[in-house]
Amino acid sequence: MTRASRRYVLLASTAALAVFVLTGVRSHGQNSGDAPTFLYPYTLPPVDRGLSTAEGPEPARLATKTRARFATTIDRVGRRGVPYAAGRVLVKFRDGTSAAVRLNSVARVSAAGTMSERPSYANFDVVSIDANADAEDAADVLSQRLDVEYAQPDYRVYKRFVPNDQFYQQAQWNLRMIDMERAWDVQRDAGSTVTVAVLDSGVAFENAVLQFNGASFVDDLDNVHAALGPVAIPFAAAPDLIAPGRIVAPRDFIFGGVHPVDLDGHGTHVTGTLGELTNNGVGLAGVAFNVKIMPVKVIGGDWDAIFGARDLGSDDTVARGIRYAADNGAKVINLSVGRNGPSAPVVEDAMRYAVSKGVFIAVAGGNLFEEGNPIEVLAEIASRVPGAVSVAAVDPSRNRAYYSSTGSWVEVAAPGGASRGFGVSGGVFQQTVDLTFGACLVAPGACGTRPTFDAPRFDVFNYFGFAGTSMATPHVAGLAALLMQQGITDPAAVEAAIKRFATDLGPPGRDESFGFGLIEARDTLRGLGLAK
Amino acid sequence: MNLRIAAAVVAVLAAATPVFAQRPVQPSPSPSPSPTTGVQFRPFAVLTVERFTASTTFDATLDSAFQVLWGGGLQVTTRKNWFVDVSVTRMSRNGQRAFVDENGQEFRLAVPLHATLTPVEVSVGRRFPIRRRPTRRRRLTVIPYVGAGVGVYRYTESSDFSVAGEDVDSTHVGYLVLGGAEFRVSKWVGITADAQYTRVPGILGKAGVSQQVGESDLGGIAGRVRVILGR
Repeated sequence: MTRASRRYVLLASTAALAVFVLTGVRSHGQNSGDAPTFLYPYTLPPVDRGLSTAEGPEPARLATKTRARFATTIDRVGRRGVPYAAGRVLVKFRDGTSAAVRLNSVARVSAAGTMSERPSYANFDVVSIDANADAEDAADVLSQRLDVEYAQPDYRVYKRFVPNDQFYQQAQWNLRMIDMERAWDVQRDAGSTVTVAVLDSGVAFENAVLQFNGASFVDDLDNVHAALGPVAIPFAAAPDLIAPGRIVAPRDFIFGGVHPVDLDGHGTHVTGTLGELTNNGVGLAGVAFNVKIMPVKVIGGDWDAIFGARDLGSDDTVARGIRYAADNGAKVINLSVGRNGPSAPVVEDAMRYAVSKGVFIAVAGGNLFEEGNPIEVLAEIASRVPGAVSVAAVDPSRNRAYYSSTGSWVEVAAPGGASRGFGVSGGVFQQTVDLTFGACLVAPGACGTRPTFDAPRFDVFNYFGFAGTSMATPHVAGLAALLMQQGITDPAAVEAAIKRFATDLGPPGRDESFGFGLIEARDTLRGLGLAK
Repeated sequence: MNLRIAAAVVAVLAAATPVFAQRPVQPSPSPSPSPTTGVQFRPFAVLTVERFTASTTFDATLDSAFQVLWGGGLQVTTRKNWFVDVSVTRMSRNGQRAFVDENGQEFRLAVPLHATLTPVEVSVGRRFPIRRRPTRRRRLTVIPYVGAGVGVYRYTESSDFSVAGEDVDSTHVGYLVLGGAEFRVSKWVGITADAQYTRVPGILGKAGVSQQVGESDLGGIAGRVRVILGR
């Protein structure tokens, strides 16, 4: 497929998706709403198409250790602003310098100076000086001497966990923005004992061939699409997301059953930001890359509609999904869905139930700033429930993302990305199913002149840059999982910590664009000492 | 570390010779503990249990506002019952970094933290020997005293995962008042018990938990027990 034709397919499919989301799909399916039939395991390897250079969709309407413990020597920070070990200077004397001369040189910089036996694997000497002396000054003085080749303080080095994932440096500005590299130094387990439920469009979590029933339908341009009938659809686990033993209690509240596969891509992308496999040399990194994942499907996409889902996501599925997650061991819930309109007591009740069972909930703050900025109902509920947090989005410049809703319900902000002004690289990148490949979607013309469509496949993946508060939310959920790993199990305390250490943006103090500010992972996990 | 300090103190005390106290003492009709031979130098070992004023800060990070300090020093007494104490003590404690929520609840984050406090204190005071006739039943002699002084307090704090500027090594001057009594248990040994109030501004309250909860005093109220060698 040429680049131009790929772009055409992408544009066409995006347009079709938008049409469907905005107006809904009139489905004429038979056996609509039946759970897919598991046919057999899918044994072909998934296709990883690498990093997408295509612009992602517009934000959807929300549907080292670094040092020895307790080092006996307190570091000093010299005039160059770099910490060094107090009381030591590393010196390379010129060859042939006698021991007496060396000692004399040492005595010139510190009356208490001594030289110990040269350490192994060193071609230099370690000179001990007065612990209160300025080692940088001492090194400078020594360097001036003719018998010294060079001298330097014993500057501290620190372990830095920088993931080796292939596209990490290139694409994941979002993780660096919240100081994840140093946060991982603090919390290397990365949430291995914590289960996070992702209530979304499902997750590409299993290798299976499922049978769906493709219904006839009429699209918004009144094109009639013939029914596909029973079709066997291949699914593969996202290769940079799923590892053995990682999935816990999957559940589908759209079709029912235990195969909450992702027919949309949104849920897999969100789950990637939360917990993409990291430091594996492949793809991208995730915030809490060792968490266990509970895929809970509470919202559907176009293909779910075509395959006859009765409910594409409602207060009912969200509330039941929250209760299911709380009852099945989740400690964190990521809720990158939402709606506007009247209140949702059924969801509020479910959120309070989950929090009472020790579950922290992160909820997307809304993407409708430019569409009248209506109240985001689920986020507004979260703002009133201690232990649930609503999340706004910032762009790569730390400004409010143009779409990010503002209001009293906004509690914290996280990277949500934006293509406007930043292009493709402004998105939050993660691996998800590549719907532009292998499937002829429903946009007129996408399948040539045929007013029809082909069965899709969900075993092809790509790293897409998406934008939205949906993308911001899993940063917070992941940070909450890391905090829980560190022993903060009270959801209200998790919320308090995340807010306490957030970096204030916008007007001083809490505001309606950023809440308490941009989350700061490292400071949150490290906490406070007595005096600093 | 504490064992080493304790051993050093014991060694100092063992080696110490109360020179002036060994001079012949003039017979006195009274067993007054008041020195009659001029200036006396009396080494001592001290055990301090201090309740720090920054109680929330200490509770959150070091588990308790009560901390133990060990040390030793030297007391100089005069014929007229003035005294000067010089002491060095040290607290060394492991804890965890933490935060305190808006309701005052403390949460520890399992990030190791090590804090030390080394007060070097000088106090001046007056002793009030109680002159009583000896009886067979009353063998224990009591000498109340009060005093006040200044100290130099060095505080260090280091944590895992620190980078430049995140550990603390700070020294500040503080003030103290004290009052207690010395109990003579033998000719050469006295035990003192006193209460000491210290105020140490300038170290806490600028950052960390102490700033979060608005505590800026590294002092507190301490109960001290000293074993003093000398008459």
